[in-house]
Amino acid sequence: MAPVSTAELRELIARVDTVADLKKLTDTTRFRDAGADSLDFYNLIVAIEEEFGITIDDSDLEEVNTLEKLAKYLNERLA
Amino acid sequence: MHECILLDVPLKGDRDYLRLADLFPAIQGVAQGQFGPLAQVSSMMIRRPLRHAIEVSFQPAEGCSGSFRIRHGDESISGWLVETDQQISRRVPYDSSPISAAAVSGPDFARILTPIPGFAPLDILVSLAKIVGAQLSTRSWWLCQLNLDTPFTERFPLEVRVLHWIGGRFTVLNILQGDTVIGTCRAILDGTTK
Repeated sequence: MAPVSTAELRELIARVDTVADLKKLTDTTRFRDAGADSLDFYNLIVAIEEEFGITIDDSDLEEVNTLEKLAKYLNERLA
Repeated sequence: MHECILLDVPLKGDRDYLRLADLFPAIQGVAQGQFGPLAQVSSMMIRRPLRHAIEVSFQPAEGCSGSFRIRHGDESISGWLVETDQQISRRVPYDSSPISAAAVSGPDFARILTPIPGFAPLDILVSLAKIVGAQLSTRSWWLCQLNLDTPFTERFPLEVRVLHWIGGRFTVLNILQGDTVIGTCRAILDGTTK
């Protein structure tokens, strides 16, 4: 399986009708700093769980607050 | 065409805010008025309790309170909900206790077996979601999102069942009519998506 890229995750967050400003969302910008609210974040987590067939532990949610961290986390989990 | 449309939606019972279930039928009415009788609201999202009259816009609205999509044939049309500063002047009585009384529930699900006179499927859905939500947390739940693969029908049983439970604060519930999943609803704790 090819590694999960931040571009792939950016497409997923665009699909969840986010209020985040995707132009401001660089790979290292925290979702919150780009205007995403908790509904956007939870919807992104649901989309990821459904897309990749994994469950993200609640204890890891605070850590995966950027596209880069989320991609890294997923690639470790899916390795 | 498609300028802002002010919705006439009353507050229900003793609540001082509008819920997704209050707005959905009005938006469905706008959808069919604008695009024809086959147009259906396929999804809707509300980001906070709405305490003033709501306008529908078909242009992206900054700072909007919510959004929705209309399915019309192969077309998907986006709309936005804008909270105005107009007071909501109408209020109608509402008592959901007959739904709670008729509901059957167990771990991660709640269902109503037969129609309850005076209640639309969406009203029943809200009460079922509250029953299931109370199993997950006794704090206050806010139904913030509805995604329908197919429109509501009058089929029963109507059931909700937990599909995801995330972060101790957010849940996705499958909606079943008969034995068929027709979509999902999503609820968040404490009435805010901040």
